[in-house]
Amino acid sequence: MIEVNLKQLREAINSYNNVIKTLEDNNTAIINNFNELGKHWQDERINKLSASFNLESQRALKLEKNVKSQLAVYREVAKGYEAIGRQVKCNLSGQDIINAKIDNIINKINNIIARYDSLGDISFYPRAYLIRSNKRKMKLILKEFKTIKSELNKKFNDIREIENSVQKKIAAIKVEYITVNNYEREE
Amino acid sequence: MLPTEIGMEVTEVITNKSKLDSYINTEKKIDYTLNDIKDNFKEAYKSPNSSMLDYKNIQISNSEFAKLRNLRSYSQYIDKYIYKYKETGVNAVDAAKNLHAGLE
Repeated sequence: MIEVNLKQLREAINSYNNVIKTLEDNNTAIINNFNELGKHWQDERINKLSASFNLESQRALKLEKNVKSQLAVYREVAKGYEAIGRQVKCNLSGQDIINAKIDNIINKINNIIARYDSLGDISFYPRAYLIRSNKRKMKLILKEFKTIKSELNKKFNDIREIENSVQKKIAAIKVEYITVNNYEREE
Repeated sequence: MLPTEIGMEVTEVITNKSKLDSYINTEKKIDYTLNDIKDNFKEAYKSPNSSMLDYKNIQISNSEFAKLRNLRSYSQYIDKYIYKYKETGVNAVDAAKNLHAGLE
């Protein structure tokens, strides 16, 4: 079962955008802070710490990249489902059952229309207009059910496409590990 | 180097160290907020893809945690440096304080 609440999704994306902005600012501040530290502390110890911190700043940027790739997945989900509706509940495996049920109705309507056709020339019958009117109604209902079937299948296919696309995006996320350097133990 | 000069250096290091600690706290808050957002997202989007995304989320969280540990160890290292200055007998921290008091 797939369940999507677009309002909540948009809220999560907005919060994520704000967090990424804070993360970017904080990472820039951390890097600047270390550079500043190096100006006032000059010995072999700060050299060692700076070398280690250069790696740390690269890792900070990797973290940003990891987090941003996750936001891209959130956006992909929202972008896809925006065209479907505000609240989506769908069981993709139910498509065949629904199609079979609609086909069953369509077949029954076709049978009724065929029976109207089998009446042959009814012009002699004073209330023939009623029969013709009912036959027209049946044809309209048939058209409606065909439209419903086509629209439902389009929705199912759209959802399947979104899910496949999201799945590919998630699979493409390559988490770059930030290993524990632990400067203390290097001493 | 004059005690006041050392004092200025140590003061700057202490200032920068306290800034680093504040960045570490911000990082921690970001970590918590990210986890909240991930939970909200899981509520907003329930799909077979969710468990796959969850797995990646855990991986990203682990790397975030490692980064915090790194930053903490740097902060502790700087603490040690400041402590060593305190032990030199020059009493650089006091010198820095006096210098600041003199400027105020």
